[in-house]
Amino acid sequence: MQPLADHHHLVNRRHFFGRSSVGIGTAALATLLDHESSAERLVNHFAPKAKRVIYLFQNGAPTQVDLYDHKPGLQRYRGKDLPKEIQGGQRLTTMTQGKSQKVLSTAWPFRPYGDCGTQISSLLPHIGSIADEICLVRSAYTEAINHAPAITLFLTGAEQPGRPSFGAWLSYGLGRETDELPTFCVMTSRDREASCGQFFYEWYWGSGFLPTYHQGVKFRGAGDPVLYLSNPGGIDQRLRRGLLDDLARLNRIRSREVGDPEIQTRIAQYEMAYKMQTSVPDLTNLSSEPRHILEMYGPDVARRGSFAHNCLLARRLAERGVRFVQLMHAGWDQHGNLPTQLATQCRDTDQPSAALVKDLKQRGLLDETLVIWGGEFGRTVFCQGDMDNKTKHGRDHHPRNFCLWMAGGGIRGGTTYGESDDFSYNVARDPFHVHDLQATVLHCLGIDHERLTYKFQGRQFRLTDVHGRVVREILT
Amino acid sequence: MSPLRSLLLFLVASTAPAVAADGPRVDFQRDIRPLLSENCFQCHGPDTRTRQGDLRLDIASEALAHDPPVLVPGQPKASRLWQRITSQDPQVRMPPRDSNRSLTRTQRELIRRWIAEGAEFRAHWSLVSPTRPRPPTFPANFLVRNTIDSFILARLRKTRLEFSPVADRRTLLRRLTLDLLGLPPTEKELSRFLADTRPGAWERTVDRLLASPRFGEHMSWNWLVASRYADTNGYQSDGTRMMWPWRAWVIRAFNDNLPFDRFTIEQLAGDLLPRPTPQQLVATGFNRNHPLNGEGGRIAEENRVEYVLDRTDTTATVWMALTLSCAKCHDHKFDPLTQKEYYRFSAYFNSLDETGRVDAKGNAKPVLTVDVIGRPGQKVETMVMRNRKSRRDTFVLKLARYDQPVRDEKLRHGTPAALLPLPEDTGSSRLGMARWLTDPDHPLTARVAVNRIWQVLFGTGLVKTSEDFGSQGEPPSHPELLDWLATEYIHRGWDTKAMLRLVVTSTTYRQSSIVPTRVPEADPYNRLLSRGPRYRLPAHVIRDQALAISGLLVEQLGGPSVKPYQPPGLWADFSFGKITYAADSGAKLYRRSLYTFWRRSIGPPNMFDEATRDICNVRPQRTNTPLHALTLLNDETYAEAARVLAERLLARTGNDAKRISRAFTLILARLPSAEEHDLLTATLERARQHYRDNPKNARAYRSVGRHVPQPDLDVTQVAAWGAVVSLLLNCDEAITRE
Repeated sequence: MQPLADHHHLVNRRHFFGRSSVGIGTAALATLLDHESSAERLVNHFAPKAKRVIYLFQNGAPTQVDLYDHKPGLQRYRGKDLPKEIQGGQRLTTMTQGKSQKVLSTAWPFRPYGDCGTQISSLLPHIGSIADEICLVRSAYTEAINHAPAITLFLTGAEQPGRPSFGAWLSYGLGRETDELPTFCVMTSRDREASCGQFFYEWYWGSGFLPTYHQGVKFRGAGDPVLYLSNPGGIDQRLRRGLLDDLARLNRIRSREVGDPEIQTRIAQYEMAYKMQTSVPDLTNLSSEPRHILEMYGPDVARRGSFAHNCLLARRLAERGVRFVQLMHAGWDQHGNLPTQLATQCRDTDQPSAALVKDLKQRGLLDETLVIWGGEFGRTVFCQGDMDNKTKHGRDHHPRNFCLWMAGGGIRGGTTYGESDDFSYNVARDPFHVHDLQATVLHCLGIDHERLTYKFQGRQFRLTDVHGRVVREILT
Repeated sequence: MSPLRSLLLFLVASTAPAVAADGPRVDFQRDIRPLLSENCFQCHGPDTRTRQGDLRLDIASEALAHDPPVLVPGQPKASRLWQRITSQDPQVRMPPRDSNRSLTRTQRELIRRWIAEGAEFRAHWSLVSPTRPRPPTFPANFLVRNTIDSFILARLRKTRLEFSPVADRRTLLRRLTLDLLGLPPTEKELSRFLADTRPGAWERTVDRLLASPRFGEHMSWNWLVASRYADTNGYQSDGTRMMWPWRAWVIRAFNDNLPFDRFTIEQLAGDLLPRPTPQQLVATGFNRNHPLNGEGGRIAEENRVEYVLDRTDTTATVWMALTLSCAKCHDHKFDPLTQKEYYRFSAYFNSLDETGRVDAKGNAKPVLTVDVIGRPGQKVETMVMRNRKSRRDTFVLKLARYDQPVRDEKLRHGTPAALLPLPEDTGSSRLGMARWLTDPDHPLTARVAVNRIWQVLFGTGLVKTSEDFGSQGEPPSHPELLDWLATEYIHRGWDTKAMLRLVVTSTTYRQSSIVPTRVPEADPYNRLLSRGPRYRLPAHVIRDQALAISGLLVEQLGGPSVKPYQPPGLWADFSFGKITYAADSGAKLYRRSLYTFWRRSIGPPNMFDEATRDICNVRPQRTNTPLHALTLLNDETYAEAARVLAERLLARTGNDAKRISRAFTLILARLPSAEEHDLLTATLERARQHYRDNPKNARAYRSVGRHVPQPDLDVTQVAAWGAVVSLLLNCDEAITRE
């Protein structure tokens, strides 16, 4: 036996396309191999409910006041000052500091949806139509008040960049389900008007201090779907095949001479690269999708790089066993022209979000796929800008209370969790912190969030830092 | 038994420490402290606020004085520690269940023996100044060329291992040139070296390379990464800044062999030197390389405090490999560093004349207008350190939040007490702190610096965790060698080139990297260095190498950043069209990767595994994924290099055999074996046939990249040779330092 060669072979399998058939936790192996993770305890802490996650991240912070947090009583306060005891001297951004805070009740009616009767805004009829599938959390909160730190907190567990992202942790903890595609895929899109969006930083899907093969692979909205996927000019796939065979031969000669098992890994990675040149175009080619499916996702689905298109790709990735699909959609940061921008944004996102859940369900995939929909914080109930001019007002950032929802793998559908006060300003019951979301999602995947750790700079780090509670109340 | 199972058993067996009852004494530093640190310090360590049972196990005076006695030297059974870690009662047993920590039987046995042998404590190795160890001596031995070899060989022999043979001269020259310059040897350099059979050929080559201007460029890369250098600010808008004058300073400092103590002092406190030169001010850009947040709605003071903490963390990591940042919110859990000490240290960086805003045309004040190195008359504004007139007050910040200072106590500047005391007369300024760091008695600075030198030349430091020399870091593989090198560095006046020369002239460095058929079980990871390490080159070196081999590389020192090829739409996609990438043309496409424009939020896409520039990073990553393969196969940079090299081969008269040999020499610094030769001849033949059948493809291939094709060459030939060259550029050996 050549233990080292075997180990490298395994490491290779694990690195990018590995592990599925091997009966041992990836992380367990990692501990033995580099003594840097606490491993044998990592994987399958409990029976998992979900095998994968699709995170529909709504960049910019959707307004809970207008979409999910039903407060009919607010109409009476419209235009009046927010009571001081509600505001409670909390931290505001420089945009609304020291300015008057007049309550801006929502302009859209809410109505009950589904058998559960959950109240959702009429701006989101399609999401309303899946009300019985989702658990709507109405008591989410965070500490961060600016976009980048708040998104970073949701996606990496800390406000400052540098930690591994959610998907990287899952790749590290669970390994892969497919040999054809990366474990962790990312797609981005933005609002139609391109009026109020933030940039997507690479650390949102980075690997932090985990090995870089855990980082998300970005699927692009234009050009090659994956960077450097196409052959350069003048090289076709037939020639490439022959060259790769010769390259493998040359590498095997070297391997025989220098004995370094890493060469075997290299040969395998080049072969996988070749496979990706077929599997990725196959994934992104939607011509096999029947018309009724395309119609489910709405008219935008044909436009590459749109949220709808990405939602459909997310389903295709889930079908192919990708662990973590992170869709990021910008354009919720409605400070100044909320009525117009919000309506457009809802039209673009409502149907595809709901279609994804329905589509997964009709394929029997929803039970094993956890879908998350939410932004980095909420928006203020009070008005920013000109109260009386609806083209010139909006809402500022609001971390103290907001909404998000989850559906599928392990989540109790048709429910709500938590409650805000009468002004949708503070959490009134069952607070649900960012770290609680992370702990709960990991739990659904069979992972104890306190035991999925990686040692870096002398400390065992985890996604939930030193916090997080599994919110069992929302689990099946 | 399945291969996997036997692998695991093998690994478990080979990594377990020796526990024979009659074995050598248990070594506290190596065997016990890491166990206590990992399993006990969380609740019985330096952090006073979370300490349980008033018991502290990280220092002898407290651990041995505890009442009732926790440790009775010589009597494990009478020691509460032993009782608690072996108790069957889950309420009593340590570590507690909910800590998610546990001790194995082997580990408990080690602790028992340690108590039985007297429960001797010693301070953590890296906090005690290195004393110069006496090197092991050998009877006249041609393998022991210098002191490094005596330490390495002595350790190998303890495990009944020997050095591997010296690598062949071609491999050696390629290794040395890649390690010192980040470039491959040229044909001429190779033939000269092979022809030089006089004694001292190796040393002469070393000196030639150390004198090359390419040396400073190569050494600068890691320093730029440590300093989180980028050409933009990061965050929202990600505006362009002007820090490349600092980069030019670093390159020159390496090329001029500025002693490391001065290198340190000028970068941390050049502004406080008496009558500083403009270049000494530029040097202080080191701590201005952090990101700047220009997001709308951000509170400027919050930004400013973030920058102060970033400088604190970066300085502690780069010079001391201390995880000081862990003491931001509470006392350090493992190392004797208090939260108060964290903020005392941060005070050195808290009085800059800055606002927390991006207030100087992409830069943030303080800024300085300086002459560009090597371009007289050309001026540029760059960020530097400069204190404001009155000092800002420094307080402990609750949870490191800018708006939660603990105002009960104003903090003075200061350095952590567990290290070297700060001399009274230098104590008050950043300059004093920089001098303190370079004090010959400082326990960390020299060790950390020589460890990084080792990391550059062997891929892994003597301390593998080059970012953490604390209690939770990995102990050095060769503690005495590390200390010897540290004292040698100081002894030689912090002469970096001398240290590099010392290492690369050792036998240890010159060993072959061929892995023996039977991997020594005692050393599966080659940490003992019974052979030369073999590892993949970093992405920036792979790119520079391809440019050099094809003849495209433009060797020009310093200057502003350049924009080489990048797939279209990346920046626009990232920024919703607000920022677009316009590649440069001509010479700027072919500068070394060091000069590539680095957008902080979306770095150059072909620089795989390279650290992002958001935070300080001192240990490079090496992974192996299909995405890397796609990059090297398909990126325009590499496709063009292959095409241009094919043209270069064809431009000289010769036959197929000669050209294949030349391609081998250029790319791998060696000649092909008969088997390899036959293989490539067949590749070439097939590629020729392919392009004869597909002339359109051959014509398409000719226009890969912007470098003007040589007009008089046959397109089928160029394309076919391009295929062969690209194969060679992608082979494992080409992207590996052997």
